[in-house]
Amino acid sequence: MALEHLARYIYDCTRCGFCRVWGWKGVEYVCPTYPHTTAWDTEYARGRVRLARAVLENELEVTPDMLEHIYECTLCGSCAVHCPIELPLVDIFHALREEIAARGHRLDSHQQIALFIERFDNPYGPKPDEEVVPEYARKSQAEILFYPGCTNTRMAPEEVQAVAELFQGLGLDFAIFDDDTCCGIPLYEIGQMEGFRRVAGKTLELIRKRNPKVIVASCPACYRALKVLYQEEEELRHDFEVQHLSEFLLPLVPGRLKPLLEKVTWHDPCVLGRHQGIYEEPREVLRQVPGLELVEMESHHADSLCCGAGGGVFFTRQDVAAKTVESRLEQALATGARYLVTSCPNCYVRFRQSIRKGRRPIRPASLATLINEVLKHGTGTDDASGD
Amino acid sequence: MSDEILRRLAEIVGEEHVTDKTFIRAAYTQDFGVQPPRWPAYVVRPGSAEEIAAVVRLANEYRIPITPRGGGSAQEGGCQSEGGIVLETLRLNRILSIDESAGTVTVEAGITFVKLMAELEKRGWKIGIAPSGAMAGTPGAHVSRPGVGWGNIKYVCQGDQVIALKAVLPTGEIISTGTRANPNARPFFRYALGPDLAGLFIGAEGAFGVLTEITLRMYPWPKQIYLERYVGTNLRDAVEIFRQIAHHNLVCYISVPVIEPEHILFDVNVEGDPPEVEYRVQRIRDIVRQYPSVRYEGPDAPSQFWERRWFLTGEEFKQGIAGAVNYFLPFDKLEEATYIMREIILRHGIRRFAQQMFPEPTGAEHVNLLFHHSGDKEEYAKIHRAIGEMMDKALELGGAPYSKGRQWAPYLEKHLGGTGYWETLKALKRALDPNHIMNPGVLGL
Repeated sequence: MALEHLARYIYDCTRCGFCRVWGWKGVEYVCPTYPHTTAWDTEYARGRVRLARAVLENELEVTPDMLEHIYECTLCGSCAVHCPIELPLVDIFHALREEIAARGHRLDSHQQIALFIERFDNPYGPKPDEEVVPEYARKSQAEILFYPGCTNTRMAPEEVQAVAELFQGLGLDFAIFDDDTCCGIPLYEIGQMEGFRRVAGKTLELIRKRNPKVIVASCPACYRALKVLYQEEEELRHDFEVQHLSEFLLPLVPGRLKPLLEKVTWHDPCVLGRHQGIYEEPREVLRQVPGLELVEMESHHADSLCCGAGGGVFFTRQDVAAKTVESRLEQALATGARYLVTSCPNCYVRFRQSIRKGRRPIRPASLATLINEVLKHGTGTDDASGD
Repeated sequence: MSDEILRRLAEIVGEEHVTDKTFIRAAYTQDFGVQPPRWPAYVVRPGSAEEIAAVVRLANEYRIPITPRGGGSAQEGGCQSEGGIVLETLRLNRILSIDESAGTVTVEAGITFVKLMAELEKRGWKIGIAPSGAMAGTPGAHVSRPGVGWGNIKYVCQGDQVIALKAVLPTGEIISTGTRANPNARPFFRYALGPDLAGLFIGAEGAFGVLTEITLRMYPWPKQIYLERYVGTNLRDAVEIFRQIAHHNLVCYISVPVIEPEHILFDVNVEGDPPEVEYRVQRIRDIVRQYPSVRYEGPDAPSQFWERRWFLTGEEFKQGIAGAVNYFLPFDKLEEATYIMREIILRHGIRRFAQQMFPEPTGAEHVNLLFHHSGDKEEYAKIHRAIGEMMDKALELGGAPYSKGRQWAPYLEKHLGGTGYWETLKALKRALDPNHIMNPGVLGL
């Protein structure tokens, strides 16, 4: 949405400052990255709205330093759900990015994302020689199409393998999208809408060729792109049904899973929870595992703490992302859970890195890998790298 | 860094804690109110009293004004600076000691109230007074206003909760007050050793120095907190009820968030041991029963509000940014003032506003909030005209603002100028701040 269409909300901000810290009801910091920055007012929502106003009114020159503060935000939406006057803060911050990108302001890291996507249709660069999608899942057409997304295929290929085994184990007629084109959301998140539309159009065309009835995604960002963002662009509208993996699995797994006598905690990915309201489906899938004890972290559901990687922060401020994930990990460890489960490759990869580095006594797992294991034999995931 | 002041500030606080960048300064031009933007030349975020003292000495050397700022959530422009240094205290955010023997808590000035209260609650303690904006507000700023808030009747005012202060004077010396002035003593009593120098800073809005540490009284968390709501149709009756409840000290606080003609909504909050609460509630009901214009609405709605109180205080600002005209008045002036202010508001054509009351033991805080959307320049101009007239009128009626900032300055000077109080205040300012660098303009000083 254009920044000018959100002007009313930008002017509505009362500057109350409730979007900085709470220390109340399980919400230590409203803004997950703020405590890991230099903590100027422009490094959480109140000040960023001020910057949106400055850009809207052409009051200030957009400088590289200003871009840094704008792009320190993970677009997690915590400020929006904790805003007492309910400002659409994620929309404002995205529109701000769209506006400054349209004016030609880009961080160096954004140039690289854009370049790779333009050249390879993928922010991670050229497709590796080794095929991630198993042969049996590489079909030209199927009723169910799993769209893995580039972060899964490049950073967590075990997710793709697990989904293939899981769907096969459930006896489904399915294919896994293996063309390596990105859904476009990395460009959407940094405001580069033209590039987003181009790569999304290409991806949609490749999906159309497979003619599925339902598209399933375990990455919440891909899911949001396919289900919501494409429908907001005239040239990207489609009639495919899109489901998140948790929604898709829920009717299929009851009574079919073997026991797992472990304590498990669920991390709500921001794009799945706060952005799309999917909180209960993954929890309900986990509850279908006999013996599994589901425990909540201090912050959960709409109050959940971001892993720190969203909104392109992983590409732009790895230092901030690395510190932010530690805060979330501390909450997970405090539950005493054996497994930290999520269904977002960004969150999962960040947890995995941090757990391995710190040799923390908890195992990172995706919903797909965990459910696949308990469908097969109920002993847990193989990715026991945390201890 | 080519700028000499910037370079020297960076030497004191570290390069990452000082800025002259325009886009960052933009976020420090306003507070939560309607004062016009004022652009500081620098924003600095010191990490200790010693760093603050060094910044203040530097400000004296260069004759550059310095303005303390906490959460930036007051409404009268007290934390604004035109061309000076805004000194933000949010890095001073620790609880330094919880003294269960004395019943005091000592905090750094920039901790937010909710964080402090949540920590105390875990240990079975509470503070007496908390501002509505507790989510963003800091004790340093609240004592400097001095704030009132939830707890007004039982605990009166944040100033009344102060046991000791630590402050940096306008010339850079660091002082402690109360028993803490004795280097061998803990902060446990305010009126000791000599004159109460804490009073110099309470309500001074930073004109006499920067608060760095505050010791407040704390109280055991009550065994029961009970709320119930009433709605009245007659303001005079309602105020009489408030007066009786306040004089008998029956409640922790009374909140009157809605005063409309023939619709006065108020909640009472009673705390204590269950038999004590039961007795107090019975006494309140006996008082209310004498006034048929007031009906009982029950405990459900205020109890739900209480559960999410710190968040919901921000909700009324869905109506816009508020020009606030808040002041104390004795009980027998409240009804008249409500109608007078309402007439001014309506005469200026203000579309959205709220009148409220928060009773104290000897009177009440009378609140007038005039809302607008900040892009609406016409409404903004109307609000400015209205609040100017209202501040003048409030002082004429015998009212007294507690939070003055820059907004009340010309009206304070008009009504107080030439009095012994005013001249003494100015003399103290000259003596303690010879270079006139410490938050000039607040209070009219």
